[in-house]
Amino acid sequence: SRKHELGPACVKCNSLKFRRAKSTAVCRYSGAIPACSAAIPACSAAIPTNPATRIARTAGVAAAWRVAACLCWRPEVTTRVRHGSVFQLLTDLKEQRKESGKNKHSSGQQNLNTITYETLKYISKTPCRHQSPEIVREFLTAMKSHKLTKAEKLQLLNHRPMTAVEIQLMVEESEERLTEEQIEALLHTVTSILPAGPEAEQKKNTDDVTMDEEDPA
Amino acid sequence: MFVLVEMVDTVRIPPWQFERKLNDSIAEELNKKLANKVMYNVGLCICLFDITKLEDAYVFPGDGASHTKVHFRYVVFHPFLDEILIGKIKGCSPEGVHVSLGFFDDILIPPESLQQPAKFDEAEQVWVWEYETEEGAHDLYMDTGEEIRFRVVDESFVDTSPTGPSSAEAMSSSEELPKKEAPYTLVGSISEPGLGLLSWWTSS
Repeated sequence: SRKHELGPACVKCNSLKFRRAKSTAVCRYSGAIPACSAAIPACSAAIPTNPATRIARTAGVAAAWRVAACLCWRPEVTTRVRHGSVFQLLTDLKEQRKESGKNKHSSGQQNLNTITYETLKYISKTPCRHQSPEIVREFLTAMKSHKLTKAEKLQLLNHRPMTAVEIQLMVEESEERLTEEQIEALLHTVTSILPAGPEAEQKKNTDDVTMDEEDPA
Repeated sequence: MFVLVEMVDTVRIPPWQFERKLNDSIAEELNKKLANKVMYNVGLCICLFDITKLEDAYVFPGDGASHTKVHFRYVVFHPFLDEILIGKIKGCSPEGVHVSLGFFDDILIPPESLQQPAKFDEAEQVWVWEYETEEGAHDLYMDTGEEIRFRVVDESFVDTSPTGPSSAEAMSSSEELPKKEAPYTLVGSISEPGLGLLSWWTSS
């Protein structure tokens, strides 16, 4: 197999897609930052203050550019959240509103009611509704050895993949980064730690039913 | 697919709400203002996550209400590019397959991003994946209501805020075609193994 050198991950979102965007210096995950690539000359002028980047600069244009692009990344304004925590938040909100009852203040909240109802409905169908903070912590500890990016771990949590083909979708360049054994191990960790979703339970029930039906035949 | 976005806003609390806790009234006002709305270049707002900072409240002359600058975090639907999502097929049209997440509907999978070779069945108004096996081609229909897994490949925000009448000409043309544009649309793709209807990839 050909050797593939992985470049540095994006500082902001830890994605490796950064490496692929040769011409634009834009990380595909954290969004287009055209100002960033345009500002590179200014950046490299500012570089000498940082000894690490000075070294990178002498090592070649490409390296300097890579570091420069990372340096002028804007501060984090958004954080990704798990489905599970959104689910928790929405259920709490629902309870709270139920408790406070139909008081006179809760008029004009139809928008909030619609969106929370629909979102709750969507998340209830995913395996995330049973994910407690303890389970997530255990999962993340177990994931340390697999060397995945944050975005990949988030998707594993949100989807709870059960087949190798799903892992290949969620993990970038999985053919190069993971061997078959590693994918198997990953699948095992995911399915053993994370609780199954409502679909799986239903499926189990229907399986039982069909088996019962087949038995007399 | 959800993100927390830090925002700052000045919230006006009318005097008849002064008997309540300030945090409660502010939370309610923020939800009233933002929930179920698309914010340009940010995403679809879901609900308030928390209030991180409250600055001093002011009462201005001529208005009994208090104005408080609030720093808060809001839960926003904004999937990142290349994220895998699961939705339901809302319908098919020659433009592609329309997918809905329940709370968000404006997702389109264009024909070139479907599993190839694909064709549009005019009679049934449905897209078909002509899946080839050794025994011949299987027609896999993408029926309405089926669950579908797709990858987000593009997003676009359209500024739908009202604009003043620019000219009489534009007025007349807009009257003829009151086209309602979606403020936030996602473009999906299912042209990879593992993507498409969930039933295609289950082992059974």
